[in-house]
Amino acid sequence: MKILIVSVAFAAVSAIPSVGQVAAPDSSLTAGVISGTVRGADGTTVTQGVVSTYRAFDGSHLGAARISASAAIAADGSFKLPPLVNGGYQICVQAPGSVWLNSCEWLPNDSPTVVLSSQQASASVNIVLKRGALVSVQLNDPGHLLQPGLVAGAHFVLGVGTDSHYFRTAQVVAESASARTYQLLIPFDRSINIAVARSLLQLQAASGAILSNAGSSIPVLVPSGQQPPTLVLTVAGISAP
Amino acid sequence: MGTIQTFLNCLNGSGRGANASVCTIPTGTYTLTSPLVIGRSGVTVKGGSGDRTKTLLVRGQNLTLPIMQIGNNGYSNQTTPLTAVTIENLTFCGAAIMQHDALGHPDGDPNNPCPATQVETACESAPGGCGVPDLFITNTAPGQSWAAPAQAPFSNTGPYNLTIQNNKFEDSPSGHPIFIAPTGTGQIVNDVLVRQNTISSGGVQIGEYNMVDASGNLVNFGDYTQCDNWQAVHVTAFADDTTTVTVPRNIRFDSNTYYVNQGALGGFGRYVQFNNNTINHYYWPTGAGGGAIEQEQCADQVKITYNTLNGNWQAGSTEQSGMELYSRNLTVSNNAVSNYAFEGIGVFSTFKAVITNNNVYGNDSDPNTQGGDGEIKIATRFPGVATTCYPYASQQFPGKTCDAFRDTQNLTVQNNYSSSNINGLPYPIYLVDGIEGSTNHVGINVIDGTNTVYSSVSTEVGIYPNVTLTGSITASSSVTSGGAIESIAIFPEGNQPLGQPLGPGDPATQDRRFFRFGGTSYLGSGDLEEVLGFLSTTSSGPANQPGFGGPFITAGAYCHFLYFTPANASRTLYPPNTIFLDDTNPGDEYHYNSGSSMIGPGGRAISNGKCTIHADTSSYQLATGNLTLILDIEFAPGSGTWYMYEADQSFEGLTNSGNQVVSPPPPATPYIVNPPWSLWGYWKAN
Repeated sequence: MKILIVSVAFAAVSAIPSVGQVAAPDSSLTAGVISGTVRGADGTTVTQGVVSTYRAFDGSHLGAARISASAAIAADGSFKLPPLVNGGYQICVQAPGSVWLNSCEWLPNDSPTVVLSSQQASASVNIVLKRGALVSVQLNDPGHLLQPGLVAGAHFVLGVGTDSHYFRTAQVVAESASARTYQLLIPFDRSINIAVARSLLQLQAASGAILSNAGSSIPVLVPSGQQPPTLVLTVAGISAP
Repeated sequence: MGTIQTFLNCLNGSGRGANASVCTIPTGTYTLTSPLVIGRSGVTVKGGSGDRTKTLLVRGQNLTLPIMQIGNNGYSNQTTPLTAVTIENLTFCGAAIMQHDALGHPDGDPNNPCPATQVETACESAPGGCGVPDLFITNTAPGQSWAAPAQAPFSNTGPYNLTIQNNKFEDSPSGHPIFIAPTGTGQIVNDVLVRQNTISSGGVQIGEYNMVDASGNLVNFGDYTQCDNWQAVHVTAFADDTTTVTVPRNIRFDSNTYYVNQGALGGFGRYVQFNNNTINHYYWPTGAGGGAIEQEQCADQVKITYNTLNGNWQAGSTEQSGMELYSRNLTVSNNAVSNYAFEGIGVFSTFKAVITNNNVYGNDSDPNTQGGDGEIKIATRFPGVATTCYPYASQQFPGKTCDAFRDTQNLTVQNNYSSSNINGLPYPIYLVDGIEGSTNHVGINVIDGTNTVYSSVSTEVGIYPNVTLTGSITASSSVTSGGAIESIAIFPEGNQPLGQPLGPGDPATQDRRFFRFGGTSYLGSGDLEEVLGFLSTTSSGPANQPGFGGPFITAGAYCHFLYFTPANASRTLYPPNTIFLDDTNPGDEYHYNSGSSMIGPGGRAISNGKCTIHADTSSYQLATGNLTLILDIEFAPGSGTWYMYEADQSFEGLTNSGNQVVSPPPPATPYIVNPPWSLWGYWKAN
């Protein structure tokens, strides 16, 4: 073999562009698949909802690589996410309309994690959801002041701030001309503030007390094993803007 | 035949044989300790035999520079514009050890003539490889006269500034045996012909994300606004601007044979032709995937015709697609693309792409993912959280740029053919959603019934339910299952200097401007009930990703709103098209007691002292699959940097998944922070 030495003076090597920094055709790294089951803490099969995940940020420039995915939960509680690029993933489960807490809105750091790599191209995860307390809020409206258009600018918003600072609005589960029933899912054994936001409406608690004109918080704590309470509010009149 | 000294004299311009028009390397095997530099025009550098396997240039043990470089004298920025240079009849041996995987599968070229040794070169043993190409092309003469007029490069055949023909490129330590890109002010690459070469264990890279323009300014060509808005500002079309734009122009690949385990062609070029090439993939259990042919958003005038792409995917091997294309003015026709793990042809966020007369079959072949990609896959993409957006250069976090993707526009898919349905795909042509951040909007010119698919499939086109179309698809189509709730990235407008404000009336000042929010739903935009925004002036998170971990509730430091969409108002008792603003008191959060307003004319300004939402000059757009909310937000002077988080919720109570999972190194265990909030970048008020 011949040695070919060319006499050229080179400047700093740092002037060389590293091809690792360019738009290399490597934007979808080797894919893996995450699958598994979702059950409640009591072993109940969770039959509906969505499992989603997002790749942990590690500074990589991944272009358009598949770094997030969602899949519906099957009737048997199983799920299978579309393939994802290698990396660390946090698994979130949403089962709205059930008694199971969103695993990433409440105590998100307890949510299961998975690392996909060339050594572990697929992973099976058995996810257990914590039961929540389904709190009902009955809003009586004897004057029908909540009817659209009756009080211009009046509104009423009910919800709860989760551990992730996300405002989860209460869902209306029953309605008549003079009352609505809302429901909120919160963790057991923790004092949670239910937020009541409104304008132009005077609200009265079950105790008869008039809530302040500013937004109000109603603290609720439901011990494990106990039935959640039904909170009662009444639209007592129109307040000053 | 001359001697090696004659060759060196010829190359270096001194002594006997200096400055000859042909510099011949005698046949033999040469170990390079320094690069061969071609620094003059009008020269042919060639092997001593027409049999290219007889003249081998082998990377030396400690050579961490290219084997050969053109137009740049040893990276000293003493560049020389070159023309009429030819390189032929050589074999470049980029690595000392012929690459093979842990199972002993050899690299792809069955006739690799390079010597195999048992000692790794410094290039191979460097973490991640030494990152240099084997042939580096940095500076040629200006474009040939025939190539300068618009469209001319596609209808002429030379002469070229540089011709690379009948060479072999083996065992690249970087995966990029050929790299075509200017590296400094005043450099440009025009008119390069690469033909009849064998390229193995790596692909050709054209351009890079950040290139200096003719004035020495660094421009991020990973940002589509820099090319899409070019003509409006500079009059000349981006592809035809030969004086200011430094993206390589007129780069042509004819009749090359590739053996690859990842990409064959990637990057950014203008007037890129890829004709009559054959790409063969070989088994490789690790490594990068992506498209065998990938051209990015500011690649312009790209023509890919009459190529054969053989994916040859088998279980355990790297998963790839045949083409992963994001570019402008793209033509893909008369190609045969088969047996890739993912889609055969991927068309993502393209501008004016024409996909016709291709035979695309046997793709989407990984049984784990089968049915998710189709033969031809179409989407508007988003680059992901790793490239959150900081629109103004003066505001950018170092190393971070706004790489927002364009919506797919003006797409034509006609007369494509699938000869078999060996994978049983339900939808040969598949319009899917992007990832979190995408608008999922696709602009159609024509997708019609001229695409011929296997007889077992009754529906040619599958469409994810949260994909929104402009234009119509006249082929047989159906809405598929799949998709999710996703938020739309807040900064779609790209970097300065050519990023554009968000429509007429944008105040576009440092303290007051339009911001885009919104979401898409797999059940259609009518399913979106709420859009929430949390703009926070407190931050933490990894040093290279400011804002991660939010939103942060700190007294007097946030702007938190809740918007009930106008979608399907009968499903909610919350006021439609109404925005609520929270105060900035952490003990009083979620009461939204800083006012509310409808969005649009008739609305009013609501303020919490830190931010004001001018609801009357804000607006929304409700399309089939997505909702966009343009908010006119004014920040208090001197309020600092605003990290921007967004979340969406459906009537069913489903949310987007959030994009803020971080993995502090080490350990590798990720932790998640505050889903469903997605972080989309920051804005600095005065």
